[in-house]
Amino acid sequence: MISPDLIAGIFAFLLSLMIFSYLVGDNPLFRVAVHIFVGVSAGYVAAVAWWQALWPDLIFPLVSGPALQRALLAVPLVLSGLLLMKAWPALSRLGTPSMAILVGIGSAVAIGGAVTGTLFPQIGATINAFDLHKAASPFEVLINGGFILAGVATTLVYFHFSAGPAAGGSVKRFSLIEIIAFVGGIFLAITLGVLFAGVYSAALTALIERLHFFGTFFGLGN
Amino acid sequence: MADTIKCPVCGEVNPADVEFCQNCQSRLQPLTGPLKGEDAPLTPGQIPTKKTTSELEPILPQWLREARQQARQSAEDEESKKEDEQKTTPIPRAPDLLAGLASQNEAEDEETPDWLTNITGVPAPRKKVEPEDAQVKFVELGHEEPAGSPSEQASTTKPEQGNMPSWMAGQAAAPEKDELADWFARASAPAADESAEHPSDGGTARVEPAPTQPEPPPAALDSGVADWLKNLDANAASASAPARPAPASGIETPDWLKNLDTSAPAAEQKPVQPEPPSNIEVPDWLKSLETNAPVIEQPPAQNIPLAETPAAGTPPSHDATETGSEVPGWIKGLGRESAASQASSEVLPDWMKPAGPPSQTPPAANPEPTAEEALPSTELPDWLSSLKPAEPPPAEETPVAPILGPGGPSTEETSSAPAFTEDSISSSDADEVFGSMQLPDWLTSATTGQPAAEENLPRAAAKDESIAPAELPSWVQAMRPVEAAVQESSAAAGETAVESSGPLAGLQGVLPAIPGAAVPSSRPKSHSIKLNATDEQQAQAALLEKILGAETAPVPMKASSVVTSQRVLRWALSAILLIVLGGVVFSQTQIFPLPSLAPNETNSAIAAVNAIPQGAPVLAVFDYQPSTVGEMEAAGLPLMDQLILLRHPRLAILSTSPTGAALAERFMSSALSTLNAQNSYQRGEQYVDFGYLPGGLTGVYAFAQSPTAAMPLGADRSAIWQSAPLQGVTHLSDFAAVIVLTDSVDSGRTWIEQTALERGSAPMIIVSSAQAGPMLLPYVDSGQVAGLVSGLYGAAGVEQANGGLPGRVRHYWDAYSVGLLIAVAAIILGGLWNLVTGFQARRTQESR
Repeated sequence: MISPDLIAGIFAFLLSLMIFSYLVGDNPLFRVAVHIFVGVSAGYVAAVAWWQALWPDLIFPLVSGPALQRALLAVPLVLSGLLLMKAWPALSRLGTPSMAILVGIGSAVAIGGAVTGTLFPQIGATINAFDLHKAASPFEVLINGGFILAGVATTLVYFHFSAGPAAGGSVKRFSLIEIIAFVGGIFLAITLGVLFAGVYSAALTALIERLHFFGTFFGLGN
Repeated sequence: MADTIKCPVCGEVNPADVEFCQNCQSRLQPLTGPLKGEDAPLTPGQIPTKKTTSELEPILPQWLREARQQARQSAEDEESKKEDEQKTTPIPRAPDLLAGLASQNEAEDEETPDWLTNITGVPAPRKKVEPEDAQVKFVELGHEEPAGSPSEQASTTKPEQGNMPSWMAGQAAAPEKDELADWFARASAPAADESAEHPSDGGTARVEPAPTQPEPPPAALDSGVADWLKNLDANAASASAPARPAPASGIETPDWLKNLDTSAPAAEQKPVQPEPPSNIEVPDWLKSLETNAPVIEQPPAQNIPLAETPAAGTPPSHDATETGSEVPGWIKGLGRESAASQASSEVLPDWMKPAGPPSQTPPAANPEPTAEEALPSTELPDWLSSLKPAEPPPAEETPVAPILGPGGPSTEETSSAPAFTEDSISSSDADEVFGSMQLPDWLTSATTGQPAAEENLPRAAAKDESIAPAELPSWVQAMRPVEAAVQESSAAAGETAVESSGPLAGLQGVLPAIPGAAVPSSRPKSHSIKLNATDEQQAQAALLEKILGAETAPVPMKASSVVTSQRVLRWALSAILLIVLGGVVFSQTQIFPLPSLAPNETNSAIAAVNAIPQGAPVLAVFDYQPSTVGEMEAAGLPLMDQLILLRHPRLAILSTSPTGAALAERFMSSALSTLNAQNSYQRGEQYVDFGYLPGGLTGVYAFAQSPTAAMPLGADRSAIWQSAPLQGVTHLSDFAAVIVLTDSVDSGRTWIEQTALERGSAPMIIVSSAQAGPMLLPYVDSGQVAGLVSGLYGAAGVEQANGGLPGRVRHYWDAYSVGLLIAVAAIILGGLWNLVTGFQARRTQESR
């Protein structure tokens, strides 16, 4: 008897092969697999949005909630309705208030979180790199701190593009900045290398997982 | 050559060397100088002799000869066409030379004068008499005459050929015809047609030639006498004498002289209107005619043509018609209408003046003001003026009623005809003269463009005024532009020369072509076509040409080979990875050992997990995409397995990605339970699922601020906060730890940033993809994140710390290590390949 897991495994196997067919170039099998994935994802997202967002947070309270909650939910309901007007160019201006709210709130939250969650802590961490109290030996602190400080400083200087007039009518950054920027470029190259290695590692792990799935599906693996 | 010559006027036989007729003093020798070396033109009183006009051909200008030739050819074509189509009235086609004139008179169906016919040599088409109600015509003219009257009958009766002078008959019988007659007839024909086509345009005032003017005698036509002369004859007869039986002419005199004889008595017997004495000279030959003309009985009335336009109130005179039918009106006019002929000589057109006498007589004074004054002044040809009588005609002669042409020409009309300028019009005397004469139909039609009013009809026609027509054929011979041209050319032969050929043929004063003038006197200066440019300029030009050539030169498509090589390389690398990694995975090899030491962030994560209290609530956030499920599950399973195994936490799973909720359920229900059946967690008992948290970072912020408000219900719409796993949890800080499994830096940073303040002392552990680990590592170093498990490498350390459980990392580790080596090898080999190819390309360039 064919179990649902077997059917799911067959579909997963076929779809994986179809995706792998992209290695030989763009082909209908790959497109079909992609379309299936997009369609299934969209449907799933719509169902999740309805069942886990719209219905429990908006529709259900409006239907069965108290009057005060209904009145309060009228605001997001109206804003949501206006936001739908963006689908029609003639009425898109009606959705501007909703978009303004989304952009304003989102920007404020993002900036606030970045400042409080990234900028200040990272600056503090860089400064504390030289905290001798956290390290066993001052040499290590100096090495690590100095390396971190050099990487951060040179990388920041790398993005300093202010320059002044030079001989011959050309424009050139100051020599010290040029040197520091060059060191910052090295750190950036290392960072990008690390990122590339991380991307490759992630992709390689995904490939291995698929190959392991194939082995498991055909009984070649465990 | 004959020794005798017959007088064309009286028929008398004269010696050949006699210039004038011994009987009638008519000129026997032609005046055509060029023909006989006589350059003297005709003088008044001289009778031009018939001359074959074809003899003038050589001395004619080129243009005239071409015109004659064209006319001859066109006439022949028309004759043939006429014969084919059997048309009574062909539409003449004017030659190109007088196309404008022909266009004016194209519609007029007028008979061409015979004299012109003789000139051109082409027989003119006979005018077709259109049947029309004569009653109407006479009413229009103010003269009512019943149909079928004698005059009408006379108009329809063709005079006999014997009524014409013998010389005219001789001309009519001349074998050679002149093309100019037809040529001019075509020019005048349209005017007649036009008048016929527009009878309403003053048709009542204009004398229509066809209906009112009697048909010219066929004999006169055949004899070569112009029809207008015949009309003059007929009009004079009709105006001067009433109709009466004409005696038969049995006198043995020339036929035309008989007619003269018959007309003369008629004029004497019944003068209709007394003609004032005139001092106009009568030609000698005419005087002789008048003096020697015997009294001849008038011809029968049926032979008399009807006067064309009898004056108002003037009854039709059949006698005059009879007389006129026998004697040419112009001859009578010469003898009687001296003043008229004198005036007519003044209004002759310029082109005819050369044919006239050298000296012009002054115009007659005190002309009788008639309706002709209102008529336009008609110019008489010079030849007509040259025929002025040398002596005044006898006063007792019956004046011949003049008949004007149709409508009479107007001043404007005259001006419209360029050949007849007004400078030749002297005074109103000319009008009177015109009233007493009849112009040729072709001439009147050519100069008449508009019909005149009825009141402008010539009264002189009723006054029996005659004109002095001239001898036609001879003057045509003698005058014409040929004579003038010959005289002028002879007079100034040494100064100007007539162009004989080419487009300027017939013109005088043309600069002669000097032999050698068009040829350059010296050899033209040779100019070198070689561009004088310096070497530098040539080099620059070559450089510019090279640049332009490089711009326009097609560039070979090298991209195809690159694409092909990339495709091959991609296929090769893919094949290597699939084959090698597949072999490693399927063979379940464990060649490469797991790392013995985990990175610091991983160790921190393991420590943080180990620090979680037993059975404490832990929030697990699954924020990754399905594409990274393989990596994220491999990276997260060891840590979660260790957590579950060691701390038995109450898990609450959450996802900020719509697909994350499903992946979280997959992680908890299948992967984790499969790998470790002992740690099977049941939903609702050991863990709860919040499901999808909408709003992105805002939702995270909201959830951090108030988890119960942001997610009041679970994924199954149950009261999740009242569930066992979330007992005592109302805030984010109530969770013992927050574990974030994410493949994105942004998602991890969002949770780090938005929950930093609300999380409190709860540690945050991040399990990330290898691609996001490096970017999240600073948060670990800064202390914001308690630990980080990045990718398979970080999971290997956790799995090593977890006692090798669940072992997935081990399954992947050989393949992962081989894959990394392949990548390193590919990168190194690729770099070397590029290095080698670069050196080769550089060497190739250096060698070239």
